Amino acid sequence: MTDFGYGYAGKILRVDLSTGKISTQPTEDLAPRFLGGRGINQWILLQELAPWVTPFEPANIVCYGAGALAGTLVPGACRINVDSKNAFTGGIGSGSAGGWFASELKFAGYDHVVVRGKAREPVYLWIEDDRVAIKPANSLWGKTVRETEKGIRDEAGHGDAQVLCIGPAGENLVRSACIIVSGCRAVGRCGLGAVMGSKNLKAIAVRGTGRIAMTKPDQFLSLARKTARRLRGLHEHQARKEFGSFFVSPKWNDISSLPYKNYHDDFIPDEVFSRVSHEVFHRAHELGPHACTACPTHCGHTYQVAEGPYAGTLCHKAEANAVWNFGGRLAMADAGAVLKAQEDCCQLGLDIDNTTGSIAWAMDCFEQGILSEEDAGGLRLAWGDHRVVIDLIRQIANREGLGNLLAEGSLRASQVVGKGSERYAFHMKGQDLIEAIRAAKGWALGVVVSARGGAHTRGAAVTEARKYSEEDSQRLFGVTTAGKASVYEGKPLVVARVESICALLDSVGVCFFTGTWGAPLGVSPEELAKFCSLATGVELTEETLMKTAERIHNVEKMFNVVHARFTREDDYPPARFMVEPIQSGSLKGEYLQKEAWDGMLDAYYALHGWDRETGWPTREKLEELDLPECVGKLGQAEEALRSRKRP
Amino acid sequence: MDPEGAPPIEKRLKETSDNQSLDEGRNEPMVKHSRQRGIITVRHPELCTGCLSCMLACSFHHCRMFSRSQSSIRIGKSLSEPGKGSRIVISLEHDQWAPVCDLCANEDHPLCIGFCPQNVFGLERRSS
Repeated sequence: MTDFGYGYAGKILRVDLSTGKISTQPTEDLAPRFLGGRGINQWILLQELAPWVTPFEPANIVCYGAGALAGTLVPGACRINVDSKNAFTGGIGSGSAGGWFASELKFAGYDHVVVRGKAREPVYLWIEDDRVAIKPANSLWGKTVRETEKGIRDEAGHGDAQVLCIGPAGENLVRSACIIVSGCRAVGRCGLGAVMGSKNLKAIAVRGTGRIAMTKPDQFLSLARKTARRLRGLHEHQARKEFGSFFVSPKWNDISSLPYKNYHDDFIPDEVFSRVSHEVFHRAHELGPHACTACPTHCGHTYQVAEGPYAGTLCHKAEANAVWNFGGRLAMADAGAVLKAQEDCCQLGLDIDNTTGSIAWAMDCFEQGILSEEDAGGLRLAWGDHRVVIDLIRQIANREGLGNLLAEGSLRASQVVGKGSERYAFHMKGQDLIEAIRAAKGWALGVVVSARGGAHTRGAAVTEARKYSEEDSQRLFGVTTAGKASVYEGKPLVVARVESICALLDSVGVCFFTGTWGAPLGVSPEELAKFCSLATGVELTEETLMKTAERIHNVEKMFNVVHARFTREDDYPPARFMVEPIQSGSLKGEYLQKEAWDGMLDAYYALHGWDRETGWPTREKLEELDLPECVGKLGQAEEALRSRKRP
Repeated sequence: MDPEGAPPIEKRLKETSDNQSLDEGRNEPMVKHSRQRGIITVRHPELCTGCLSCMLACSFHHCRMFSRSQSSIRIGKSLSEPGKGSRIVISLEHDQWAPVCDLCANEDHPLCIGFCPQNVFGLERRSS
């Protein structure tokens, strides 16, 4: 084997659903510069996808990438990244999930699957080692996630096949449709489920009997053992074992950073919050834990609603987002109803963040008299009414009634309705916003500049809610302010560092919760460099790996430059957040000051070596990052921008 | 459990490295095992989270690589049976479907025990 042959499965699988052609290429073509997972996915998109292709056209490409370390015993190395054109923004669409799919894909011999074209009828992709087939999925079309998984496993005769699939929402091109992996783990945001639906691709199922080799196996195992033991003792991991990611919600509410009633406030009042707290879910509804491949933490918990109208409902995975979205944005003060809504979204293949974004917009418009009961098909869209929410979830997935409008997301829905409803559509670059960002300035910057259109899985640090000490802050970021929510100074540095960490974790396939995003003593970039070196035989240092991560982040940025022309003006928060202060909580009165935001953006662009006026990478930066192919693309985009600005 | 007010990194590093309870049951001297000396038992299948770490570690013992098919351990984790752990099968006979468990002969410790975060496995010693 040559360099980068070890540690990887070795092949990228390419499938054209229009022609039925199936082929492979060596992963080592791309691994040295882009590692794997998100890095290789996004490079393929940038190189191969024409800017004029829209998200639901057959010519769009969707890339599935197992992380470079997935399939090994590196703690948390379980992630599959999915990338395509964003159904909301037209820029990059990107998401990842854990589960057991990524390792199985690598055991089958593939690091990535690249799908283009559109099948004539519903199909699913079956991968069993070197036997790859496009199979009919007519009988699965319209089925829920659970029914789809079962149907594929029954047909294959392999109960251990791993399945990634869409629900009815993806089939119906609902923009908030997601992809569900291993039955309950969502590749959320960006409408990636709808992109699969547009290709008539219901699912990918995989079963693998191959092996992943290391160049220095004994040293690799020794480091994996040492790292796993350390992680098991961390406070954060103990908390996730007990409560899943629910445990973080009180910390965010403590710093006035959870949305309430579509941002009427950034603090969930006690009478609501106490009924959807992490302890309520844990004590009243939990049945047992489950974990992704190689994870010592098991943040996954299965819940069963204990009482009330939804008693008996099983919900296999719920994140803190469920509290923010259903408990906060929609004011549902009922943990059982939250679990029911979460499970319905999962089975229908709906991303809860985007789905609740448009429902919150509708409820706000109803309260303001912009939408009537007649507009809503006879529903009274009252805050906290879980029956209405659950009905709307079904309507959205099936594009029925008001759901057909809400399936487009709040921005597009508001453009259809008009009447000032745009004021209640909170979005970033066209995609619904879920984070409350007025109080914590580093969290805000990371969310707002995120290339995928909002979302906190790019540069948003959790340092402020966790109140990192000055010592931790200095050690990890080189500034003392990472843990201080209302301070602007130092936050651009924190965000730039976190962006690289996220790009690295997404590309090696290690979960954020086991990496340093979720815990300061998680698997560090230095350790990831050692793992990669011991696996591949190519000597990598923390410095070289972080440079690769920066390259990947710039590729993502360049996709938005080429495909969506987002500029500095798209890196500002919703205008209301810059004039309307938070109403309650410990950081009551906080808002985002325009001048201070400008200062953060200037510093952030300077740290990246990006142009201050456009926010785009410069030629010098692209050449420094060994991305000469991007220089021409940048020139064309700059010329187009100048033409647009000409009177 | 709540990490609120967690101490500084240096102290926590020391705490976690000193945390001997993490290694409980894992540091017994068991160099050069053979099946005559004992057997791996599934003590607590109800605690299994399905992380497959034991399976990967087992395959590593057998072939110095990571694999599902080269492991003596099969894990059946079904989300339709929540709260019941997993179905765990260990290959003990030569005519079975996978490499036979040899108690990690020539390893320092049985790897499945060492890598399981839930203490699912145990070692039942046999008197000589």
